[in-house]
Amino acid sequence: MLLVLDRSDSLPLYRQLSQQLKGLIENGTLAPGTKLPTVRRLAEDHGLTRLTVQSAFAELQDQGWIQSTVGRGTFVSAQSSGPPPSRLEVPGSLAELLQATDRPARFQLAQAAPSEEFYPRQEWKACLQAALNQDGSLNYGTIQGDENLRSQISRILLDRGLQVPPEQILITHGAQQGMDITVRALSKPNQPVLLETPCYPGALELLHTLSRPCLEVPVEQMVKAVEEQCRRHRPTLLYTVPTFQNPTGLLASPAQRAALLALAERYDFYILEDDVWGFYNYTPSLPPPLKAEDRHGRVIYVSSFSKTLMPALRLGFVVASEELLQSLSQKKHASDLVCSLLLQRGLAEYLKRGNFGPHLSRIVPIYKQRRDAFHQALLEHAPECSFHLPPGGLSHWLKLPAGVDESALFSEACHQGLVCARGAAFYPMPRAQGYLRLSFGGHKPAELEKAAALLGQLLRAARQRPRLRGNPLV
Amino acid sequence: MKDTLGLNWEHRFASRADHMKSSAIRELLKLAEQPDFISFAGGFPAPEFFPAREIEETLARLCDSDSLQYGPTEGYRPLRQLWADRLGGKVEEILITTGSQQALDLLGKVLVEPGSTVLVENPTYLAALQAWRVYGAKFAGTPLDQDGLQVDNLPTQGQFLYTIPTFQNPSGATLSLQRRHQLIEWSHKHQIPLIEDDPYGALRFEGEPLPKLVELDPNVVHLCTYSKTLAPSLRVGVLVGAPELICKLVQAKQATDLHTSTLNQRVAYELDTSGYIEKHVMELRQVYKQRRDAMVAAVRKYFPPHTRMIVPQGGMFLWLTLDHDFDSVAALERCVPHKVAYVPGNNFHPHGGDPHTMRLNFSNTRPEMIEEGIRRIAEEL
Repeated sequence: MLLVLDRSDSLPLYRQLSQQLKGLIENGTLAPGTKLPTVRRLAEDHGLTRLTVQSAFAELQDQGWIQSTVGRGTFVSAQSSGPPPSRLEVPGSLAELLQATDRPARFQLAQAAPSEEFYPRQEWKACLQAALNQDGSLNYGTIQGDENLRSQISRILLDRGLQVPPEQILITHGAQQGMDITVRALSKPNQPVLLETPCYPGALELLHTLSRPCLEVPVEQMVKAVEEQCRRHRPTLLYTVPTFQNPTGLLASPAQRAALLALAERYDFYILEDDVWGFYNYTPSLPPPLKAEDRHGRVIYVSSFSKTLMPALRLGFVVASEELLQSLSQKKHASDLVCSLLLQRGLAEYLKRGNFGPHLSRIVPIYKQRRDAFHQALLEHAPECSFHLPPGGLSHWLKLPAGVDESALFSEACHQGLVCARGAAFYPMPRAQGYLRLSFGGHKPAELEKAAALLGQLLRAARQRPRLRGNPLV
Repeated sequence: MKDTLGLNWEHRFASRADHMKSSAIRELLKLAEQPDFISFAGGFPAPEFFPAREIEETLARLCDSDSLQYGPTEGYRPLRQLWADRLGGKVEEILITTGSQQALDLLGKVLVEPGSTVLVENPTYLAALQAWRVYGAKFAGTPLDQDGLQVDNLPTQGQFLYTIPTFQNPSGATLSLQRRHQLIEWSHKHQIPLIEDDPYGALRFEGEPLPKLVELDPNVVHLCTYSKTLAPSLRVGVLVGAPELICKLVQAKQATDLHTSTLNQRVAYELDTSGYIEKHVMELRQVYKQRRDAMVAAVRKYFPPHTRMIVPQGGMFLWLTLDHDFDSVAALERCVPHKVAYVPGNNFHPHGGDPHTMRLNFSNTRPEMIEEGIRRIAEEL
């Protein structure tokens, strides 16, 4: 079997191996039912350690591509078209985004997530060990979350321009849970929620699951749109990502922020401020979060460590006035009791050791470089699209030229090995104007250039596709 | 014109009211967390036996793997497959949840509307009531006795019935085999789904294991967790149900927390498949049996002779029923200054009731201290 593994590539060997095997299964070279070489064989043939091969096999098995039977061997799964389709695999959906890294693709631009290359694995391992040595780390812990973790979070929030005591912090299962409990605490079923659009698919899913109708406010004219909606409806809550908005990358100006806060006071609604991208800053100066100027306890600030550290931790937090926090804590308790105390303490240790700042100092410039490279490449290869240079975050938001069908382009791109996120995933309702969100975090500049070149080719091909017009011949 | 007063007030009032009901108890029980306290109040497994070393080794290995990125909402597939194989079903019938509490929450999101009636045992697991109250559930409770839920007395309507058939929290009772069959018949006759919560089933110290409800009828929705067999801190639970239900629950879960921590799921998987948990549970059973025996003996020695108790064949709780005029809450207030605590039984009833009962947890305290704790409580009766 021909496998090409590159030790100098930043992608770990086991992942390269698993991706290539996946590719071979997908294109039929390894047919369903084929017996794979043993771990030992593969390791010997390609100069790999057995652990590497085992890890690759574990990943493939976990995704349903192969099956291992003790005593018989490892076989390509019976389903020839890969893992069984899930009902949730609506193209462009959140489900698809979560599973994006499972799909073999040359250019992985779908998930706005930190690259595995920068996961602080060794430090994290040491911090978990330290956490395990503390008394009680395997027990339930408190609803509000580990005291030390909240203190550490309070400290690092100062770097975001936010001064909040640990008592106003609640640890949650990712920012997503913070959003869930806030929406449930501050609105009722069938009561509309103001939603800036386009928006993070997780927010759409959440409002849908909770039966909250969306009052869309286009992010580019948000202040005006919010006021208009408030004149006609009685929303109690606005969801917004003012800093490096997902997907547009927009950064709300100080004036806009002040205006939003004023509107919240005037029309009596709360603001759910999602700041998961707040530390991914490429600009020299950043306005402080809405929460920092919140005089009346109207802002519920939500963030997480998924984007800055590692998504699998599922550790986020909510900052709110003590009174609101009571209500939020109750909902959190009723939802899942507590967050993993072990992981919380591991994170507290990591932050306490002063790792966070240096980690960001290391990765943010690299991501900025990738942003710049991608931006240049897009300007060169996809000038027919309109897009801005994102001042922060990990994604470019591309407005497709007229006449290019978003769905067709997206499918064709997937086919050609370029996986990204479809515009449709970011709006509650379908619309004619096409968009793509391309996340550049996971590839080096040279690869990003190639990705942009491929996109350019696809765009040209899309515009040249003959359109069906006219009447059928009779 | 601003008509905001009603809305905001309502929001604040609702949460505060809930808060006030249980805050008195919560304040008392917070004191129970002090180090020299003998607490029979929590629902904690014995912390001395948490497998710290095994978890540490497993985590160290996992940090070098692909456990650190986003994962699928349904859960880590090999873990799901493990449970599918164990229960003789398909992987599509398994969802990994963030502890069993999340399973309850998701079922609430999907099945409970404001005003829905949820059928429960009386008494029952408090956090289940809390999980569903949030969604506007109304509760109808059916009493239980030493053989569990009194299935002859069940209503004929409801959204679903929630039961903890083995070593119930709080009563320690186990549903007899006959009643299990009857319950399933009842469920089919009235088309009311059963939700079987089984966190303690593995912690049996005597008697013959009874088949789980889901083993008798695959239509049963089944919940279990690694909290009592491994460690509470992992927050890994398993929900078993029909694929259509799992699908809806996955949608709800996705919007709630994206997915359960991959790292923790894999720890649970590794320690389960390696056979470690099976061995570990055998040790736990010995320890808990000893502690149960110590508590039962102490109660018989110090408590009034007419104190009734259900002696559980496993699990973590002892349920005591005292004289009808006994006030369990008032007694707790007298106990706390003497550094001992339990949970008054009325907390476990959807509508209050049985103020003369108490739930005592024996798993969390060493046998020597158990006798001392029981003695202290007895003095305040």
